[in-house]
Amino acid sequence: MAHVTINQVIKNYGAVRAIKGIDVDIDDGEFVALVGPSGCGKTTLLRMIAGLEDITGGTIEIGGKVVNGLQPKARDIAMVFQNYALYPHMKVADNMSFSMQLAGASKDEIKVKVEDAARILNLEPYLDRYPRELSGGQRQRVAMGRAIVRNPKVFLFDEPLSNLDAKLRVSMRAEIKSLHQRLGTTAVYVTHDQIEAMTMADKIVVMSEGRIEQVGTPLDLYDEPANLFVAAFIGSPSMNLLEAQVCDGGVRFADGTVLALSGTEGFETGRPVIAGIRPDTFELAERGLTVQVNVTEPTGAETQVVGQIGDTPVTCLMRERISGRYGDVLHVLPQGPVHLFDPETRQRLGTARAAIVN
Amino acid sequence: MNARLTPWLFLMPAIAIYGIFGAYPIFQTFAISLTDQVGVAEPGKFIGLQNYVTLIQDDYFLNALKHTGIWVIAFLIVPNSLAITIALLVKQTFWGASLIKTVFFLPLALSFAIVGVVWGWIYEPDVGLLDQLLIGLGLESLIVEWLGPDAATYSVIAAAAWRQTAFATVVFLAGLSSIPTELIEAAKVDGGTRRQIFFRITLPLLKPASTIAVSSALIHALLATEIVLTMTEGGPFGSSEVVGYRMYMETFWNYKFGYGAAIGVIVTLMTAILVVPYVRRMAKAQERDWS
Repeated sequence: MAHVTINQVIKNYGAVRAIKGIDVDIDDGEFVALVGPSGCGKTTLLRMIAGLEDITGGTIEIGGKVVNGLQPKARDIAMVFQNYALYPHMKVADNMSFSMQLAGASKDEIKVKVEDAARILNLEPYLDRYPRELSGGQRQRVAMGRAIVRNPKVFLFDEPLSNLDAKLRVSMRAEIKSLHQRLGTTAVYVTHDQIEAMTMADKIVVMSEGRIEQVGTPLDLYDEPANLFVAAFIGSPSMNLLEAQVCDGGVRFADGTVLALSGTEGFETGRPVIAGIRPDTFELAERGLTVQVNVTEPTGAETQVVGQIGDTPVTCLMRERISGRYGDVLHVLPQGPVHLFDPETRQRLGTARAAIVN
Repeated sequence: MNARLTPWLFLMPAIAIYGIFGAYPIFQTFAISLTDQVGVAEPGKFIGLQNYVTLIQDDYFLNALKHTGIWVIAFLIVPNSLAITIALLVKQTFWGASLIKTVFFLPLALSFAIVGVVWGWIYEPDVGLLDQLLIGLGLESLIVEWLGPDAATYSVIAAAAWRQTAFATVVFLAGLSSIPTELIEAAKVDGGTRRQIFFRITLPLLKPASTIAVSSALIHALLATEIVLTMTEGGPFGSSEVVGYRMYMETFWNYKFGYGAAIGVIVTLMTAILVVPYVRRMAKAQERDWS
């Protein structure tokens, strides 16, 4: 176990700067998710921690030791690859114990460790099989087993669940999380799936275009997104973002509707803002924001209404069973926080709440 | 159309071609080897295994067989180990890598017969490229009579190995590129040194490629007729003769068709014994690792 410190790390590919100076502190035993859209640099950062990519600038420390110049094998890390990277010519037991074999561990020691890991991952019946004889989920477990057997300082996961079907992904998600809680090893987990990040991580690092947008606990990011990028990225369905102007006692939307808010007193009247409203905070109202319905999608527990307010597309998640059709009109009011963002800097200015309607 | 007949219909062309140009000649060769046929004018009379009995007492044949043995051993080791080394080197992407690849692949464009002619010039005493090179480097003491009685077999093998290396390099490069990068990276993270990764991951996963490279080397070494023909004609004094060359000489030079056919049968048997089990074993391993 160890803490990981990433200090002003830069990565250039030729003239392209893929990672633009990143700082992250990962505490001992913490589960940190690196999340962001494709090409944001999250996998590159993980590979730099692993030692599979050179570090152009800055330092990476594992357990208080700078590892910039160290080979992967000297870093005491284990990595689970996206496509598992199991050795096809070795049986499951050999795949799991390969690192111990290389390190010259005794046969008895290897046997004990492999059996331990196999028990934890329910792989005992498969130790004598080749990877090709296993299902996707079982291969995934073997890849995890290979990491566990190492007993490393840090686990690195590179989108390990992205090749599994939706159902298996959900169950493996829970399994990895409980495994982490059991072993207590520091883990860095790369994913593009914000739900995975939200459900598993102690701390999320949201990245975009080689920069960090925000670092925080899952609920911090959800409740207080630092900027429009995080606001739109975290949460599903994503936050509705509506152009508006601060007016006396609230905000006025482009279609002229005024939403009364408490908490906008500090802003000058007429200031343009972007109001961010989570889909699940909307409730039906007599008067309020006018939503023109495009489609309604019932999921049983709730109904997702896809439509628009003025010209802006919006999604509302309603607890009522609504059967609106194209062209119908709903009136809704947000019953939760309304985040206000600066359209220029894209940073969050503050969070207001809906006041009593008038 | 009968559904059970359909697959056979699709197989027919291949079976017909193999039958006419593969199975029938092999069978016919064996039949001729049991006769004392001379030339092609009229069939010989049946003499049983007499040709084979004569063969194992024939000093010319035994001499050629010994050289073929040297060919097989040298051809298995030299071109294949060179090819793996070259493939690993040029697989790295560096400036000029594709130029180097082209240079290594070029010999593939030449048949073994042409390679024999070209290397014949290279080995030419005094004026040949090799002697000139050694003279230029001040290494005259290393010069021997390359195509003389002592060195001829090895010189011919070296020339043939040059082309075989080019072939094996192409095969191993293709094999290397089929190994996913993640496997090598996983092995690095698992703590493997370069050496450990090569012997425990890369090499085992090159099995499909080495099947092709090794069986090709075996087949060429067992025959090795054209290059011997164009470089030395088996000489001097039979010092570079191989069984394939003997077969050619006995049949088309001495017109002993029955006797030549017996040599042909022996070459076929040697090939079958060496190559077939190897390919079978490798095909099984391949099925295991790559599905």
